[in-house]
Amino acid sequence: MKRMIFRISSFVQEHRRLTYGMLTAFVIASLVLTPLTFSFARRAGSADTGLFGLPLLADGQDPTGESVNAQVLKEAQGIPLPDPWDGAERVTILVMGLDYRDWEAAEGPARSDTMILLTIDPVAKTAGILSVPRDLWAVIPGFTPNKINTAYYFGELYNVPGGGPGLAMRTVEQTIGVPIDYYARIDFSAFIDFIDIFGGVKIDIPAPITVDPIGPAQIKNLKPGVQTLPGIIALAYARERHAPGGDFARAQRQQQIIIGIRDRILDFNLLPGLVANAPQIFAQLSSGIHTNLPLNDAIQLAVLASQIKKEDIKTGVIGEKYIVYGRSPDDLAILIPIPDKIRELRDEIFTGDTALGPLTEGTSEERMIKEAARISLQNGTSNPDIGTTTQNHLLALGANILELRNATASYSQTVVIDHTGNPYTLGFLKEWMNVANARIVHEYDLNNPFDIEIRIGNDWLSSNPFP
Amino acid sequence: MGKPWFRGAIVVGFMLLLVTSASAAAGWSSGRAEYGATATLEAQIYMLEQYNFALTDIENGQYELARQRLEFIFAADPDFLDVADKWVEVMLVLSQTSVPTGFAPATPSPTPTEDPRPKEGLMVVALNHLAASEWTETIDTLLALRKADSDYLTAKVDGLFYLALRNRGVKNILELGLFEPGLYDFSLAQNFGPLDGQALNYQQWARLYLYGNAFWLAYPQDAAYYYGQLVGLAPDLRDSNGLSAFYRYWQSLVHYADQLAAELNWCEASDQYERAQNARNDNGIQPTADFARQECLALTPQATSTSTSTTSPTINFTPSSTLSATPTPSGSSATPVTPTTGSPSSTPITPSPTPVSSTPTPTLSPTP
Repeated sequence: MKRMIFRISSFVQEHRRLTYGMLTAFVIASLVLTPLTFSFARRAGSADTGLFGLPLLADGQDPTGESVNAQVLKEAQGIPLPDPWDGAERVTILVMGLDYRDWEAAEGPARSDTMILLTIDPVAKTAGILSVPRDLWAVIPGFTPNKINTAYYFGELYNVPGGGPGLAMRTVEQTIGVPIDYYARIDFSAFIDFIDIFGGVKIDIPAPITVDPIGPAQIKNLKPGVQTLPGIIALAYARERHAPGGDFARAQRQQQIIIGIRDRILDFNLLPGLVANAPQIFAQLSSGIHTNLPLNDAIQLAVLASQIKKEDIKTGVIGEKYIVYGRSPDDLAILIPIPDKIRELRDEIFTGDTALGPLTEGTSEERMIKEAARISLQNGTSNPDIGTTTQNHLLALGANILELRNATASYSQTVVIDHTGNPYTLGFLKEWMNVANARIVHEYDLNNPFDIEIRIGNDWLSSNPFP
Repeated sequence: MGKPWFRGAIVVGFMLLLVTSASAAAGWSSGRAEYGATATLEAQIYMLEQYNFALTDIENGQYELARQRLEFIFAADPDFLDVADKWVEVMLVLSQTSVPTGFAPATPSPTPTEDPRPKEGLMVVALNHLAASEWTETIDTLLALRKADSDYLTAKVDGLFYLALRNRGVKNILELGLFEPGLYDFSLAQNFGPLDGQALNYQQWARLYLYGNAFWLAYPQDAAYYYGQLVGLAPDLRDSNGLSAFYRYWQSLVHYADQLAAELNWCEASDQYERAQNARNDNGIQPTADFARQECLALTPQATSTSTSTTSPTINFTPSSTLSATPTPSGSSATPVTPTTGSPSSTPITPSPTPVSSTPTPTLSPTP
């Protein structure tokens, strides 16, 4: 240390003028740079950490109203907002477009004009698109039933927690049943700009259609065939509701555009460029996209979506097959849902190959063996031999029978009791012993020495497969 | 070492770097502090706003909406003003006319971060959640486990998924009144293995309730038909708005009677009011019921008991074959009627927002 001080003082004495010059330069530069860096860093520090400084809205925002900064709320009070996507679980996003007529009228909050559920499963590498019609009659939490598109309106009008998007998400969640992780409200301008960023979207138009792009007197007649539509025409194509097929055909056109965007990005290998320029693109589109999906997750999802084959994207529209036409109490045309039918469609899109699905492979028997459930076999019949015979057969099939005894009562029908969750053994026994679901009993008990109890009933005496 | 000016420049540059880094750090720290202060303030303002809205909702009898707001505030800050007392107050009122939901205020738990422990540890965590009947947490942990190693004890993990999904489905339906999410859980569980008879019963109840909801307000006679079936099985089953199946059934009967009365179909209306009163005696509708009966008696020679008033959509409900037949409610029409045809409206509507009130929908006032 002493040596260093000595060297510095020698240098100063030796180069006095140079030293003073350098010090002066240092002081001047410090005076200029210090406040600048402080100010810049302070601004960066005080900014929201959403989409590159743009507020992540909860959002109680309408064209003229105030916004609620959800990220601010979350950080300050721990208000539950969606957690960052863990990359392992299915993610579902409610994409909404607002009704242009409401925007134009500017008489308060708008209704949602378009509601589309996008879902991606990272494990199965599958995706789904489900369009929800705006006139679907739905129970809106906290309100009397109404068309589903009014959920957004009520959320905004009554300033419910989460605003319009929050109430719309809860309503769709309760109507369709699937958990919704994020929402994205896309305005027309952002939609147009987004499509124009990569030079339009290629669409195969199946039949002639007249569209009316936003703006005065711009009606266009689109001929059938494959063509690349610029953003403004693509938007008009997606919004057109007077063409044959009404709202249902419109929903299909919207899905066609979503797939078209995906194809465009992949065909021209645009994804790397889009990802690299994501901040700039978001900056450009941010005023028209309102979402609670963090940018990082959006990029991850985009990359994941690009890995999903087209044939693994399932699409569905809650169309005529899933509803019946009706009238609301105030005599508006509504679509009464047929819950069981909608559920079938939902399951087709959401529960096929999924992260929340079985991974054990093999036949029913092989999976039962892998499960290795500890089984207690109890004879509840009048035949003392049936227990032993059944045990021998089950052991030969690979079942893990740990006990054979007489049941404490007589059973007319065989009952299978599951204590710890053994779906494969249940499935096997249901099939092999022809046990109806009603005779499968769930008695949750993790401490039970047996995972499954089989109480053989007299029906087994006549239905068993033994020679 | 180079020329003296060069060495000096390096030293000055280094010092400048130190100074600017320090000022940047100070600036960032100051900015975050400002952000935190703004955040707290904005959050307080927003919650205060929601609190005031809740008070207004209570004044207006919109208890269900108030409940949503109070629960939101409670989840964020349980100590915020007297939010807990207000919630209890609202729930007491709701419980008198409808029913409390499965929500119970609890201290919000912090969001779990990614578990860095190895898969064995995650399995232990999942089992602990399972033992504590924390179904969603079990599922989340199992997903994390699968992400860590999708080949780890697949049959065991699948079994735990099945159990957690099945039980979460039951909880969603019976405790939270989230019928469709509950049915979704059941659907996922059925991917693993067969559901038990009890779960299938709950599945059936939820389906019936949802069918009733599909017609609620729009076609009360059909709503009453489905709710009526449910009343025979699970009259206390409640949806997320806290309304029991029985309450919905009774309300549907009243709505249907109102609808008939509005169409001057007095005799049919009188019958329906009587059925509603038989289901649950309510002084509020008695004057209307009496008036309908008088009008019917006055019209008796000409009266027909056929309702020509409404057409309603037809939905074929397929009951589960494992369940016993459900009684048809006496107060509702089970006859399918002609569906309304035509394409959906493209006319802009003027929504008439009507928050759910805990007070029953008022019946028609008798015309003097």
